Amino acid sequence: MIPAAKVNPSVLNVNDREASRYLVSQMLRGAGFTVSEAPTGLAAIDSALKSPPDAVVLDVRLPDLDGYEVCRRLKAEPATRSVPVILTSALYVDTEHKVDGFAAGADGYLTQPFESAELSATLRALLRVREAERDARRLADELREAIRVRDEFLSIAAHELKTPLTSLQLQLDGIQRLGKKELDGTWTRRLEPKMATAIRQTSRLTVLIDDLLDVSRITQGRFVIEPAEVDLEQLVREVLERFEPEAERFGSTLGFEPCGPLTQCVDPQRIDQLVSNLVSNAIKYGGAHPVTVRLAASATGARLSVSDHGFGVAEADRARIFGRFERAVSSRHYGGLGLGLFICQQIVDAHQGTIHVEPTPGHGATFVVELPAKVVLRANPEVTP
Amino acid sequence: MKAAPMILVVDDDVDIRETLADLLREEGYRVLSACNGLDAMQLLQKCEHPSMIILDMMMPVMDGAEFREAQLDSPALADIPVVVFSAHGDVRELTDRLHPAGVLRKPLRLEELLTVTDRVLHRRNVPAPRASISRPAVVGPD
Repeated sequence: MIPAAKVNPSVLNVNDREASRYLVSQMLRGAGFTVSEAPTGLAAIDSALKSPPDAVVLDVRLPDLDGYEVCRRLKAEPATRSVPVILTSALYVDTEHKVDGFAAGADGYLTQPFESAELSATLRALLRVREAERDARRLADELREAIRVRDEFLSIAAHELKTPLTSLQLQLDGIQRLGKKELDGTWTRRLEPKMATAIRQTSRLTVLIDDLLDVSRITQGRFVIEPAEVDLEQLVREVLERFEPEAERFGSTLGFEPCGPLTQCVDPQRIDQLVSNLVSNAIKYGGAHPVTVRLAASATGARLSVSDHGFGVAEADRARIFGRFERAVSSRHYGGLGLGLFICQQIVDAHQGTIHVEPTPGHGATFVVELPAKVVLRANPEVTP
Repeated sequence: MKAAPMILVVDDDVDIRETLADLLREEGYRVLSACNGLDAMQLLQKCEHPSMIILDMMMPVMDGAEFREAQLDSPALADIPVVVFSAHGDVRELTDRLHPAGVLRKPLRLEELLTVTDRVLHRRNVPAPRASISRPAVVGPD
């Protein structure tokens, strides 16, 4: 909402010659402004800082500081930075002086003699602009605050969701363990698949909640990596081992073309997450065809690729899919929050690497990650919210 | 016969407390529980010292970090190994500050709980399996 403009905006009128000062003050009062006066540059700055006026009408020629300098100092102070200043002069009327005035930060320049109507109209125009600026600033502040509140809520909500999920997951595991130990074969066979599904669904919830938490970390600039010496080959093997049952469920197989031990300084948890996301996507979108993961040493570090033989990613979508909430496919046909590749991109960025997608020869998508051997730690990776 | 090891579970969520107690008893451990750091401190003053403490971080009255500080300040209690149990992902920050014998993240799998418990109780000098901090292998969210 735009608040009503002040009825009688205050103007500080600065002029050392009494007669001119009086004349301008009369014009201003006549046009409905409240007027305060200052006879020198220093007095003007003092008065403006003590109680910032809505605008300043400032004569260029003053006995102490000239109008340009007064203008520069007012524009340098946070308290008076946004107060519009109109320079006036009967003496300096040429273009060069006007340009100097604007360069000093002035918002207007009137040469004397001027009519009351012109002074008043100029002031009101400048006040309108300032009002619009204030509204825009207030709106931006409100938006920033709303985003902060949203991210805080997201973080609290994710945290709260994890508490019941913790007992749920543990209880399901407990039931499964007990069932295996205590129940006879038939019952176990009938119970086991149901339990496996229930456990898998709670795992999905865990991943979804973790992704939400990650996004709130990323937008708050709290997404940091904790690098350690890690054998990437071993890490990829472990991820693939974990995904073996899932691949089987989707009618897919996981192939690995390793390169031998490849120790590099990375955040093991985050790179695990990166590989997991890419493998999970490849299984999900790979249309029951084999998925191949390749790891190789490159000139600058390590190169990891995950290839599927699904319907691939259209050229137009290849950059877009790494954005937040983006996906290559319709959300109606495939579940998920559309955060996986966005988080992958952030993980790769935090490691100063690159990620891109290219077509798999034949058909399908191949995601290629390059991880440099040397990671320079930054406090916060830069993120465009 | 030697008594089974005793584990103290400190968590303000009653369901988590009871779940952990239930599952650990199922494995033959004896279990004590407390609903916050202060409750745990008071319990430790009057009963048999546990062989291990599973400690939640965010709790009312006295949180996990405050409990850990108080515990380390007390010569009688300082040696009891503590496994930090937290929903926060910043594992390194926790370990740097609290020097726990282990870290468990919420939510967790029973297998992780039992592996870490066994490792801490037997002071096995093996690193925690990395699987305990990795993502569940499920295809679903993209």
